[in-house]
Amino acid sequence: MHWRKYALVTWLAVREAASYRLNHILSFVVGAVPLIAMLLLWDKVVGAGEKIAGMGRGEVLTYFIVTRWLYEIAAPTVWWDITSEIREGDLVFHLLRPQNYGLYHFAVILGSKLPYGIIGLGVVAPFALSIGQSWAWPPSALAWLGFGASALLSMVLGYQLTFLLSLSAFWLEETDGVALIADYVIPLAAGAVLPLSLFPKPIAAALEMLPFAKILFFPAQVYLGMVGGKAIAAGLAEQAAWIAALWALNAWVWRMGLRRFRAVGG
Amino acid sequence: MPTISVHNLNKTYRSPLRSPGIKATLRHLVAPRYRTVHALKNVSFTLQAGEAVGYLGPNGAGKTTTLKILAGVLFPDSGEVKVLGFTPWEGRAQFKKRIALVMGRKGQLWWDLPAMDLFHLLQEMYEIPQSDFQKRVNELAERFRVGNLLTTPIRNLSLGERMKMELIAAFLHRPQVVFLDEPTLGLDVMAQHEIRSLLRAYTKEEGITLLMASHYMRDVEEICDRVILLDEGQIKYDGSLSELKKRYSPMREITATLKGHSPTRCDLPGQNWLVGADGLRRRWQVPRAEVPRLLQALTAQCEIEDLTVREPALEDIMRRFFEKQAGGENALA
Repeated sequence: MHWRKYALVTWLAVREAASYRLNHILSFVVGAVPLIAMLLLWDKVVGAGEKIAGMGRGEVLTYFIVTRWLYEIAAPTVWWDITSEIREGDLVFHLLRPQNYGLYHFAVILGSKLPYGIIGLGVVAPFALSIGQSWAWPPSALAWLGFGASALLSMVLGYQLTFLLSLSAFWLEETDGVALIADYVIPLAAGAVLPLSLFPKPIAAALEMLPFAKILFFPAQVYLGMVGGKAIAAGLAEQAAWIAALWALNAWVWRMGLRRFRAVGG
Repeated sequence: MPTISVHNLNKTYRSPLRSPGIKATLRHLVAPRYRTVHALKNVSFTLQAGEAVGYLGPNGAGKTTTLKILAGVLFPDSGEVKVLGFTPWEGRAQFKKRIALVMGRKGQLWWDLPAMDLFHLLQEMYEIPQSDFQKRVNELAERFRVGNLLTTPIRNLSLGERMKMELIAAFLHRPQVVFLDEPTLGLDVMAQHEIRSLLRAYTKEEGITLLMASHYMRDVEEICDRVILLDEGQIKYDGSLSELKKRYSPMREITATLKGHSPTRCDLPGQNWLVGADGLRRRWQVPRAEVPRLLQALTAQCEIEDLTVREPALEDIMRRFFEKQAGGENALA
């Protein structure tokens, strides 16, 4: 595998994203508005010294800020570049080149999310400062390490789902419906709206079995030190297993889609 | 062995039949109906190394479909295709590295980045050594006269400049076979002319095998020696351009502007060849073989200020050709 070409794709995507930096900053600032509302609400809901879903006030506020940041870098969504390339036939150029289409767009997404992640830190930082003393840091080196590893796997896992959702363009003339579901249902299922442990038990258990929980809820739990070494290892293994399973599924869906694309004329 | 060989190529599409109205829409949701479109019917031809062939036909004739199949992007329903010894749709990297497809309607350049960035990416993808790459970019940029634009974002380039960058991107890895689909589409006359002469010189020098679909007959006249005419998915003519002209345009048009004091009765001997008269201007259409004799008679008879003898444009020939096809006349094979 020639990694250099994908590294270069990432770099070009960073440069392209940089030409829209104002747009990025704006979307982040606007995106922060619901976060502010959420933090104000939870600040009132959880009283000093109280615990909810096993978290104190500072931890709850930290949870929402951390999941928000994870959401920016790893949320599965319908990737417009892929769907428009499939629909409008620009996929042809990718098929002409010696390259792997899935890796190409992973590289693009990495490149366009990287500036996001960094700007995102800049936007998240004032919130972290605003809750000051009660901001929760990972309690141990293990939690730091586990969080780093799980956040990385989150990105890969999130991308596998993004790729899968985007490939629906092979069969659907309009992918807005899929995007709507992805943008509203996934945050809920991943724990960005509510910590999963606040759902009724059977629902929480079901949600935790899905890959979405592994993208936001799990890394946030690791960050807050709510899961121990064994659970961290098990969670990382589950993330890896989901990545492998989705990789295989994507390879199959891609082949089916390509067959269709090549049959209908692109 | 020919560089490109196509044997009995067939391709059908299924396109949904949709009638307007709520009832029809609902019915389509439950039981969609389709109509089968035969994009290509038993298409066969070969191209030798270094040949430049024009691929012509009305919209929907199957030109783009053929190019995409030959470039390995589409599957055919049946038929055998070999390009440089490869079956295109198997998608071998070795095959991809030796061909290029340029489409006038679409581009591979990144809108917000300069062309040079894409060239670097293509360098990595096609594994072009650094020394060769730099030489190649300089050489192509100089030839296409865009050396000063390599670091300008694509969105700030004109359509013609963008097309030149697309061509450089396609030629960077030294493809031996190039497929062009309407390379001058939407360009102004100057840019069209420039792109054509660049393409002609470049493909000849590099010995590139070229198959070019176009609507602009000038493209084909200037770049290709041979043409394949396609209509409704079938080949109707495959041969030299001069042969096509000979067969389908037996007439020449003579236009003369008479001097003011010339007798108003001024015509060609024989039958009535006149097709237009406007003041002192006359237009006649005459058989090719008769031209010298008739010109002599004309100049002997009246004083002439200006005189032109014109071959009908390839456009007219094509129009006549496809009209005859539609009229049910036998095709030339």
